Amino acid sequence: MNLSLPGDAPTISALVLEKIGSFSITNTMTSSLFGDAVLIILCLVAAKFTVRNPGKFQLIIEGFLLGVSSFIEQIIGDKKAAWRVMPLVTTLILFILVSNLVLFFVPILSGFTYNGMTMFRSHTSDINTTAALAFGMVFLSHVYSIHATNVVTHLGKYIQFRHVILSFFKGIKKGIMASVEAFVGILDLISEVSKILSLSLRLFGNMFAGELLVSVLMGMLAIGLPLPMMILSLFSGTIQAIVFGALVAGTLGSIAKEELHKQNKFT
Amino acid sequence: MTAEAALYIGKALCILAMVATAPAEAMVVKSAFEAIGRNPQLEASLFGKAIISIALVESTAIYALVAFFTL
Repeated sequence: MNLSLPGDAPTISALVLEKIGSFSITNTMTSSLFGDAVLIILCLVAAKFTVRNPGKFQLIIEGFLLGVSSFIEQIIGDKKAAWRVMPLVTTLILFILVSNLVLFFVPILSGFTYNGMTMFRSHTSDINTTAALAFGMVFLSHVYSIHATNVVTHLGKYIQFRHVILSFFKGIKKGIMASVEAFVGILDLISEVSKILSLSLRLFGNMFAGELLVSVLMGMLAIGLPLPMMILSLFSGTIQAIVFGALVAGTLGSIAKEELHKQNKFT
Repeated sequence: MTAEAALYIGKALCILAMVATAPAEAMVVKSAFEAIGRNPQLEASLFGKAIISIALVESTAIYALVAFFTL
């Protein structure tokens, strides 16, 4: 009796199912579309909730939203600023959560094949998705920062010529301290780039490692052995969705606080 | 040394990331447990934070893993 199920180990790049011109449809894209459809249906259902007659499903959704909002408040530490970034962060968490878990909760999906290739693969295990998400969020944080203050103040966070020159007029010691701060500002510029890398690689690595581990264990013994690893990747999928949301909330929340602070000063 | 041998040595060096990340994760868990032991009421608020910080610490191991597969 053959107890192992050796399959193709997932590769880093997704499989190309079909090509329309130069535009290729990959198997992560189909599952992304499926996840989007699930989310849109969820939204349409949630929009019809009434206050008068809450069902079980409504309680689950509202409980989730309450949990996420109190979590974001805890991170940012300011209720008003938290509500500014909450819609975006909740959407992000929901999108990543659905994409990580859709293959676990709709198990039939992994059985579909197209020309002998698996048709669905969780789309956070494709580096393009996570890189796009991370780049979008970092780009948004810069745009929001410019919107909240202005271009000069925003660039001034990184390049602090004025502060250095003014400090040298006050004294040599203060000037040296200011130039150290200016160097840290330039380091921040590098950290913005590495933020994109770390955000995208963290999510991608976790999901991809889960898939790979399960497929390797399937090749050893297909009965029972992969189960703990699947549960672990279910767990890490949830955690990583929350971590991604938390990091974005932290970045955007500090800018939202700045904006609120500025508004309070003028009024 | 052939190119393939060098590749495998490089992959083995990637695994060495675990030497640092495992104690780091243990340190996070240790201090969280110590705090809970000192003040058991903290458990509810510490749990989520501990989980998130473990995930953040673990991400360094994940970078090593990504390097392992791209080698």
